[in-house]
Amino acid sequence: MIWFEWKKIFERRLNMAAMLLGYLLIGACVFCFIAKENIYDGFYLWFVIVICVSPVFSSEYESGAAALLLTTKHGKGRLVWSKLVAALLFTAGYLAVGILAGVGVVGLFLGFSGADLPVQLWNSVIPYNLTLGQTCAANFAIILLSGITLALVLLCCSARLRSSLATLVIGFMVIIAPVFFPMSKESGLWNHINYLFPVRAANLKNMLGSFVSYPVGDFVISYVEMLAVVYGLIGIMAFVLTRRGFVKAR
Amino acid sequence: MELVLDRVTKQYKNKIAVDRLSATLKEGVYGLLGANGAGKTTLMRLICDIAKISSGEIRLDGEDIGAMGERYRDLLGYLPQDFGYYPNFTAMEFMLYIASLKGLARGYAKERSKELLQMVGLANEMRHKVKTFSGGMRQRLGIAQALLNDPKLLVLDEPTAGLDPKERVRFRNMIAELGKDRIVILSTHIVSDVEEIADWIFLMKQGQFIAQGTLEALKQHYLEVTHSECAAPFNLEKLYLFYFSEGDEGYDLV
Repeated sequence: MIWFEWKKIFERRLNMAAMLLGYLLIGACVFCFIAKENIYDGFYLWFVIVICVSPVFSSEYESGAAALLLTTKHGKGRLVWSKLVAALLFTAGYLAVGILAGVGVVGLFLGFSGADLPVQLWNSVIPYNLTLGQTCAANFAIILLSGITLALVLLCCSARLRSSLATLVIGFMVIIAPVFFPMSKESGLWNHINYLFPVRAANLKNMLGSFVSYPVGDFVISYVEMLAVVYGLIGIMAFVLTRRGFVKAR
Repeated sequence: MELVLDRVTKQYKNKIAVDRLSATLKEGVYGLLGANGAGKTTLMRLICDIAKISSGEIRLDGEDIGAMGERYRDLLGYLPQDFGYYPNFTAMEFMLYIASLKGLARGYAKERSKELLQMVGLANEMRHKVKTFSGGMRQRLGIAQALLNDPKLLVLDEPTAGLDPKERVRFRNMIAELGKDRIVILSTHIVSDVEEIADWIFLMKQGQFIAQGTLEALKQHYLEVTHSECAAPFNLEKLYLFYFSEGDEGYDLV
């Protein structure tokens, strides 16, 4: 069943065009920037995820196939899981291949020496005891986690709104709009929320040097830990709401 | 097997699409006849559990179909009115996809798909993409997928739409054969489809059954209400036109 869901993702011409364009963009970045920047450029691939994942559930309603699917034995159970798994595997695979290929190609030409040097070489004020390699790996993991969470939110919107266009718009807004959100001089709460948006999280190097942390009572949660918690919670909620959205009769 | 509709109602805001319908269906072919907007498709969707009932109940062998869940859907075959398909799937791929959703084992699904595609006359097209099919071919594919799991309850919404007369005759023969040991509910506004094969006919208007019975009983009823002589040839279309031109009183016939 997962294979058929994959086939639906790859058979749409728009999806194929977007995937190719995404990798071409990364390829262009590879030749314009050095390796450590290529990790950050992985966030361009989120736009491809938005285009490819938005119609996963909504297209079934738009084409009229939902009426047929929901009357089958597994239409309200296993089908939903298959769609979720296929979309998440696609998201993780596409992002991973894109970023690793970009970094890998540069590494092939320039090598990876210096990966074990302290991250303070990038920015001397970073308070963490990390190497450059570890920071890149963490950045990669954050882009992957953000991409997967974004995909889950889009899948939830696709199932509940039943409109590919509306889901597409939401996806693009989630990525682009925070770029224009200003930092506040008065409200620390707003700034702490602002830091959690995916487009900011993707630039881990800058975030690590901004001394961002989240005090909760007597505890202090680091920026990366908070990202993991928040994105994890959003992802789980979206996961749970997706099934109800798809099978609920209107 | 017994499907019971117990005062089934479906209301959308100010409009009542299905209005307190009650019926008991056993093995056989049931024709549901009505004009556009009568509530036929809504009733089909309620029976298939893809629309939520506002009030009342639908029970299969005494059990609520909503509570049965997967067990009910395992017995169900459905052909929707606007049959959605996947343009870049081949006919065989589409059948295998639906077969996997219906829980059929892969090996059996392949054989069953071939058999059904042969039965509906698409054996030579099984490796062709569905987007290359004509409307009639897609409809035949839709009929084939509805039969994949050998359903005990077959719900067909406007199944002959797009079929030419020869295909329509073939389809009627197929349905008549299938109706011997399962419940077949056939919704249409093409009178001749129902007249030839239905064991019991429901006439539906504005969400209600305005007449129901066997063809013979409906004929007697028509003669009574129109005060016609027996000599006048009767066909179901006359009754249909009688009800859907004027008058909306309901009669329950045996």
